[in-house]
Amino acid sequence: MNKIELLAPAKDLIKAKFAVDYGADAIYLGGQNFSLRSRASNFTNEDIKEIVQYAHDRNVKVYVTVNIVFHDEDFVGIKEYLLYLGSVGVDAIIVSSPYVMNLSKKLCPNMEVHVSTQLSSLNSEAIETLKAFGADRVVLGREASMSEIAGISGNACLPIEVFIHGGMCSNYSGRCIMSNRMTNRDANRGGCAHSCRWKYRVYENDELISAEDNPLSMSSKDLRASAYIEKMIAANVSSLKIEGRMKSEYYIAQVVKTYRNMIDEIYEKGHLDDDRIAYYDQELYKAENRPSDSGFLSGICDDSKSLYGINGAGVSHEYVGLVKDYDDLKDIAIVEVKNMFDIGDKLEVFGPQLDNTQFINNVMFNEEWKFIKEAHKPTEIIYLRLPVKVKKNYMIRKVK
Amino acid sequence: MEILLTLSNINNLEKVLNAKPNGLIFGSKFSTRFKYSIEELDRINDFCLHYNLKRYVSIDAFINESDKYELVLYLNHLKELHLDGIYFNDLGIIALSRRHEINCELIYNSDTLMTNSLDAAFYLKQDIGVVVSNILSVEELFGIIRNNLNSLDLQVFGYLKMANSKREFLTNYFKHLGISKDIKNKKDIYLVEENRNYKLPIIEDEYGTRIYGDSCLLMYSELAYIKDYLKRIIVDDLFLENSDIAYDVIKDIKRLTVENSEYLKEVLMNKYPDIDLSTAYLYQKSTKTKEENE
Repeated sequence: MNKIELLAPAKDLIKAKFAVDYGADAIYLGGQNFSLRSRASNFTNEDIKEIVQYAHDRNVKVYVTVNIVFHDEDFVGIKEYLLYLGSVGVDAIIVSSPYVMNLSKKLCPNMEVHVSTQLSSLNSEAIETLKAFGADRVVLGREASMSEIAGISGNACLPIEVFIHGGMCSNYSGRCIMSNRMTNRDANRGGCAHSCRWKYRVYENDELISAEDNPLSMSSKDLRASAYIEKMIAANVSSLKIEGRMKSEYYIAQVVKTYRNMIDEIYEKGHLDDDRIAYYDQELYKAENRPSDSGFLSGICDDSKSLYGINGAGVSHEYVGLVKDYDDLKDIAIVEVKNMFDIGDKLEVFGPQLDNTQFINNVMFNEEWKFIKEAHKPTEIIYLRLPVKVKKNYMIRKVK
Repeated sequence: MEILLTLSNINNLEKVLNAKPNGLIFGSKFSTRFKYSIEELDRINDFCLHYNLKRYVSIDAFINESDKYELVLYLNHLKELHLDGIYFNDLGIIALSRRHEINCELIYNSDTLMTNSLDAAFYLKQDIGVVVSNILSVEELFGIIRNNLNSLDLQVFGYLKMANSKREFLTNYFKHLGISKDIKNKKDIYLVEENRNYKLPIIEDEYGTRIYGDSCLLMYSELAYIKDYLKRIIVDDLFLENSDIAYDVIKDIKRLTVENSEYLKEVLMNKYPDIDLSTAYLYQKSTKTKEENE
């Protein structure tokens, strides 16, 4: 049996490399056209070629989103783009258009076609239909419960992919045009304004029935499926997908590393007890900026899974520094400041090959090798004494 | 070209005859739109057969894996009715219908996804009809019809679905407030965003919640040019069951020409001043990015 795949998002070339280095089995990203998340600083063709080489050298797959809901004008250049993706070795495209699925299979038969969650596939019959359209894998809609996922997986004729972490559409993905009406921005072509997260008064027969000081919001908590990973493995799900092509390098590193460790531990031990799941939850909270829960996986999506009057929630740990290099002779880390921190702060360093290691920040220097008591300028380079040897792209965070 | 009318209230069956559509759209199980019992569904079917109206059933709910058995039973019941067509939203209906030899026409109504000529042509080639999304601009709409002549379905009148969720937005909200409120299947509840004045009708049922646009689509001027190139035209009476406007629209469409379209529109608007009629997205071309919009 193949080991379940951990699939991570990448906003740009730098973050893609973080996702690879921190343990993803596959990454997904968008090019400059044909992709949702228009505000993500999407990849140029050259970037895609570079990341495919980087990822394949590390036995990691690369999937490219071609997942806008196409209008006629959007098809310009699609054949050339698909041929390019195939030529540089992209492993799969993620797509919602059946025409593009079919076209891609004709042009690039070795490049897999994965059906986007935009098609809200929630049963094995839909997967059978999509197989006939040319699909190789189907990303399920985020509305399926764990028991439904197990049922679908048992009956499906194609591998299935399931979202396990990150933002949730309040509506069926692709079936919402609130943003179009409210802001003129096309949600299905990358312009979603998240109108579902705004505040609405509710009227019945023109009588106000919502609370004046607590209006309705359709905002959903983010998804966190840590308690279901073992069941997904048992259900023979093929791929576990982390949402977040707009997220920071810190978020990617922390979330990917946590799920990587969790999956590996399940395969090693066969089972995770509640204490271990609670530990991994604590790790995920360190990257959380919106409250999260299990979404539809538990089968019920009641008021506890919605956000009323809250959008962000702050994070329990603050990302303060990125290791740029390590000087073995001086035994000191060269660090780029990300957020303010001071001498005396309790910090934690972690990396792809290093579990969380806490320390009190006792010694740091500026670039002129003068002792400093505070690091308050983002992007400033400083030198930091750490309790362990580290490597480039390890991260340092403040423990609150 | 056929003109189809949705039947939101079974008590309006006799009125339908006066408007003389070519067929009715109705439904029972797995429908967010129609809540008829099987007996009522059969009664509507018999009525249509008696008056030579075509019969289309809407199955617009997304199907859970665990609901497949019940769906197959329902499809087999529909098979016995020898319907003219089934409008569906879940692609699983295609595989299931073929396996169970449901031999009526299948028509994919995704609400939002059918936005280009090539996807439409793809489905048509598989013998699957398609309803064009109402999110298109008038130029885009004319283009997709020109590229698929006499093959497409289009809703030309009624309130357009704006959002479809499995979540129970109203129930959850009132539970959060600690208020017990009966809101299921009510058609007189609407939302108003705090910085806008749009009234957005919202309906919650056992399948979740749908939110509709703030105005009723009417596109006489545009329809006059394209009606002869469509396969089916859908007139939707949701939220308008107590009005005769949908019937008047059907009568108008039958005599609609480029020359009389503005006149007919004006007459209709004067007759129904309380109904906010608009061209919806036809002249509101949406942008792909925030920056493009600024």
